[in-house]
Amino acid sequence: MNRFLFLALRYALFHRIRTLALVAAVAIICALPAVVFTGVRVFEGALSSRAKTTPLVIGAPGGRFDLALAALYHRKGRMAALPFGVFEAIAQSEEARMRNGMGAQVFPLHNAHSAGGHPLVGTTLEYLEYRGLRPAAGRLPGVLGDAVLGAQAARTLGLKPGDALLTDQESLFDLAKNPPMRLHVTGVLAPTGSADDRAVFVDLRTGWIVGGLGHGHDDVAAADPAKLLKKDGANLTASAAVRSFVEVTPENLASFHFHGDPKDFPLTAVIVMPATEKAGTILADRWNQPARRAQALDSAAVVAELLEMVFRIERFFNLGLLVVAGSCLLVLGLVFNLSMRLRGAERDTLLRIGAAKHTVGLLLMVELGLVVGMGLAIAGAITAAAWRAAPAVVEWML
Amino acid sequence: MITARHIRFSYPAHDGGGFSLEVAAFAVSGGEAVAVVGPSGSGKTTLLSLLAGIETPQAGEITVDGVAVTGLGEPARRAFRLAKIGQVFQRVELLEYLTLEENILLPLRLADARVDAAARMRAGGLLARVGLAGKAHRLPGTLSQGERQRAGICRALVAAPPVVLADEPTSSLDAASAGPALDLFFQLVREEGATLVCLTHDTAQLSRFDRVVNMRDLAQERGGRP
Repeated sequence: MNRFLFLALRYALFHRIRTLALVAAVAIICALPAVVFTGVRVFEGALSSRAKTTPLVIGAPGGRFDLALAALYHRKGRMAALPFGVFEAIAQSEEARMRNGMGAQVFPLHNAHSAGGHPLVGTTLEYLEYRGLRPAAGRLPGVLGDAVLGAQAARTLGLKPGDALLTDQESLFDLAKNPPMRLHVTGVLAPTGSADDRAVFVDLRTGWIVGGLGHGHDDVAAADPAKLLKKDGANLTASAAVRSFVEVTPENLASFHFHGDPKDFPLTAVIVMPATEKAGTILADRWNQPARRAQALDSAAVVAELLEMVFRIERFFNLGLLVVAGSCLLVLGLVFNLSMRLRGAERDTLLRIGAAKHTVGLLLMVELGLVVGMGLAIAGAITAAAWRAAPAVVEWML
Repeated sequence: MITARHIRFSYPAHDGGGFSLEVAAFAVSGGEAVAVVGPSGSGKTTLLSLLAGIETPQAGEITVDGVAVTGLGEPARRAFRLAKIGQVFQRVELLEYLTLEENILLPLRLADARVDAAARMRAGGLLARVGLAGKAHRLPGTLSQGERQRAGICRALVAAPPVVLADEPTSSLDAASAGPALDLFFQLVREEGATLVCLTHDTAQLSRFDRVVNMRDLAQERGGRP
């Protein structure tokens, strides 16, 4: 082994705590910007790719970021609901219908509730098809009460087709609220590496039933007369003793019904695939009119705006890191300088024995190289691990 | 074995200038053990540095084991030192991060010589001869001053140098330990067949040497540098 490397290794091992501290400092200085860069690039990639495939989002007026995050990543935001009538109006608009002559490419989303801690997304089968979501096991929802789970949701909850899943109780203390609904898991979707993996998908109407807009109960007319409080023509008033169903079964499916005008039923957002850029511009302009009580977002623009904030934070972070790195390098230089002074006797001994005058200097350079080399190797390993883990972390963040 | 003639040496002005040493003639025969005595500041250590090729005189000639040291450049003087000279210092500076065996083998490593099984065996043998057989893999910090001094002797002899230069090798030891340590040192040097030049203040030990040289007899001028 090279004599310098031998002596440097021995010195590093003897002063292992000091060496480890220096190696850690170098590793952190080098790894942090690389990890941040990695994270931001993966975050940017994930946000941008989803935004590119979701060109136009229409929702209730309010926070643009909330709406974009809700429509793209199923995040529950504090937004007003968009009436279902808006979806119908958009779907019937000329701009939406002329896409490829294949009918409307307009998808309603309702994700105001959750099941097993995962967002419960009420939508249509066309949305699943549009996102390329195909069952890896089981089948897509067929009737009310059916649910298909994203890959990660199924893994986290440990569920498979044939199992049941309760929706989350939204208020423990409000008896007027709907009780949790028991959903039937009909399928598990293949993983896509997107926010859809964490979601539980149900039919739009199932989502409304979970929200209490529809329900199923015993036939009041055929029920025990004692449970009938009042009969006024076709209108019947039943007592609370009439059984309400918290699970849709083939026997009670027919009893499920909705109250109110469906046009007023809530949606979180409507995703629109305009046939052309022009059609998109017209639709966006139309639904951005104040009288419409809605807003249309260019997802890519909103995401770019969001990313610009992230980039700005990254720049500040990097600036701070640069200062810290500079300070660390100064400390590193100081440590080696002091080390050189403290090792004066060692230097003299080496010189008297027969070492060259530059031996101690070279020895210190090798020691420095060893510390920096090990620090860089660790930083490289951390960065590689970050590259590997970043997509999962970003997905979890979104 | 060692001859020094018409030596004139003075330190540069920025490095303790003012001190100068002149040696008209100094000679040591092969296998001889010579003690050099003289008061502090008389230039004993400087003489040793000149003989070892650490310092170069401004004038004069020094020959050691047939090598004209004064005619060598810096790299050649280093090679000469590693091959021909074994040195025992006043205060033994073992490298704290190397084991005893690694410290003893250091001159071989610095000379880019192979540190093989034979070299390790020689180091082990030297350690055994100075009573440190079981401590080859101990770090210097765990040894007494006497043990470190004995390890220093082993380091000086590991490359089997024809000349050993010792600068008051027992000065850091107490009176009780100094005698036995010097006995051991002499025994080893003689066994190795080396020529010894040893600086000492200890007049009680002078009878061990073949010859005693006083710096007063060598130097014509001296300044204030120790």
